Amino acid sequence: MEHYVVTYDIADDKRRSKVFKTLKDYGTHVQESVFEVVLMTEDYVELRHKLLRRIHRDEDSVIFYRQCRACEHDVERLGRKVELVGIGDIVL
Amino acid sequence: MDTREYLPISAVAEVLFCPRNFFYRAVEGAEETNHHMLEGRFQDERRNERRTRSEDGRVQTRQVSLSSDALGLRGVLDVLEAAEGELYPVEFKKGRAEHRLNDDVQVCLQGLLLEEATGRDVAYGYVYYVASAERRQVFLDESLRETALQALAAARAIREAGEPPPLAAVPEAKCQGCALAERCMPEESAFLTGAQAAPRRPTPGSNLGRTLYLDVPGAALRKRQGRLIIEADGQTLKDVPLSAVDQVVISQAASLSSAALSALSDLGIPLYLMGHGRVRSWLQPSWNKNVPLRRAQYRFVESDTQSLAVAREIVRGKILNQRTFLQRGNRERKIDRIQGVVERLDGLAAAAKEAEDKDSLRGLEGLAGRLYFSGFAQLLRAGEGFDFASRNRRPPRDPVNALLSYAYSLLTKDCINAIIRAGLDPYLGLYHCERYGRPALALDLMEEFRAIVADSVVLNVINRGIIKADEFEPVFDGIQLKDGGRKRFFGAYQTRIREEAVHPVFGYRVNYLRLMEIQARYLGKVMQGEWLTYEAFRAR
Repeated sequence: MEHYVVTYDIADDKRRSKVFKTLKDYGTHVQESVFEVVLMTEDYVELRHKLLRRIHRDEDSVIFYRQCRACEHDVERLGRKVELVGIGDIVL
Repeated sequence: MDTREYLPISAVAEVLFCPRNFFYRAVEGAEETNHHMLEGRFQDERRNERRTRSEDGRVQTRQVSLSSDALGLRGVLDVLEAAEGELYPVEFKKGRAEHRLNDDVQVCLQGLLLEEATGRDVAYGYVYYVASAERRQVFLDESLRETALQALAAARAIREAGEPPPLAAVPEAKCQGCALAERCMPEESAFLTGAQAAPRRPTPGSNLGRTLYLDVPGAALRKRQGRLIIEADGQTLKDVPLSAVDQVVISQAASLSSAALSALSDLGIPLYLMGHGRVRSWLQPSWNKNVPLRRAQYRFVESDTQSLAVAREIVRGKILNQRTFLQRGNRERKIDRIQGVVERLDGLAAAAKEAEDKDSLRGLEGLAGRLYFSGFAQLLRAGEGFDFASRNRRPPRDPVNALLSYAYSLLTKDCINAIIRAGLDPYLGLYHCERYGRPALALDLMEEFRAIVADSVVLNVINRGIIKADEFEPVFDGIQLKDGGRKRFFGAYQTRIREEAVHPVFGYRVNYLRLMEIQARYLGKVMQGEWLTYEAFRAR
């Protein structure tokens, strides 16, 4: 399992919405242009691949900040609550 | 020659890297991938968006398929390149440049196919290493050609033999992170053959048991892009990425779109429909293609002596775990009656080891069950309003029995999943073989986990007041847990299967979910004759 904070800055509206939609399939939209993804390494590789195909490498930027086990606990969140998907069960 | 008999070049090169890996992929049809393989595949895909290109006098054609009747070989050249009047293959590798014989052999075999297809001599090829962006030239000299043909012959011999080649030695570094480690179990195999001391604890498996549990009447499950959308009364209840789900459990009437079903099955996510406290049906993800293993299973269950030996161990394990469970519960209370039951269960477990046939095993199992549940009744905290006289089912007539039935049905689905992941047929059992139409092998596997996993959850939710005695409602002529209680109970069950225990043979600690899968694969290896005797999971 890998945990990343993903931020993106995309120069074109259409591509930005594609990147947004791609990220939604892998994690939680926590803030404007920020996602958190908790996923298996295989899914991470797949996500990278999809983003690489979407972006223009000379104008767009996507950054993955990896959260190690220890720093996961060093995150402080203020304001509205965000529930991350990918960690445990979903009971409805 | 039948084209299906053609060996893929990449598999033949694999023989030099690891013969077992070749067997699993080329013979058992293993398709497990890991992130290294996926990354290589995706790099190919991104490269191949342009089929041909030319730069500094080199013309490249990508993805060229070739085959040879004479060699019984087929392969795809990543790149066929032409420069200075020569034609040669280029093989892409995602890592850094280093000299590996199997890469050389792969290029050499590609060269042989190219020679046959074009009638020209191919003197050399290249391996291109993506991470360090360098090319290494490979000369197709006589000795390399000989090595390549020997590898081809070795690959054929393994395929003819039809069983995994024995593990040559202690697992190497390459076994760590191998996509097939869950199937091959190199650490455990080396330990059982005495080649090494304690096996290392396995890396987390690919089934994390993250479950979407849906207990909302009239809910609709749909797919949108790579996500599952759950709706009820026109509202979106949840929007979950498919990548965050390992299994779906539905316990109320819901509607499912075919797109959602296809996505689950493509991704190998099983779906279980529960009702009236049992698994009513399930959607099985693409069945693992492992025909040799299932053939071995059929032969094994047909053999009275072989299947009796395993059945004895299963029942012995079940009874010993019932004993351990009562002992743990009785540690503080020291009820004499339970101590008496514990001693008698010890005797019955010993008798199970010597049972003449499956019928006498069933007799011992029944006797142990009645004794055990009389002890179990003693462990229920008085004053919680739960009375329990004895086990009854179909349908359960009191709250405790309803909880037990529910816990067993959750455990059944996880055992079915473990059996299927191991590539075995869940319907063909070796102890529960008397009644058709039940997932008999999953029920066989489940015996050793009943007390330690399922009964433990039931005792826990009652004694800690997580479920109250007034949370039940009558159904038909039985009784069942109400909605909110079902969710809490499911949560308690999920907590339990994520707790860890020590494997009695291998000595490492893994969670119960993984233990079930290890035991399912253990059964498979015994059926294939790779490991000698089955050992049930026994709690310490």
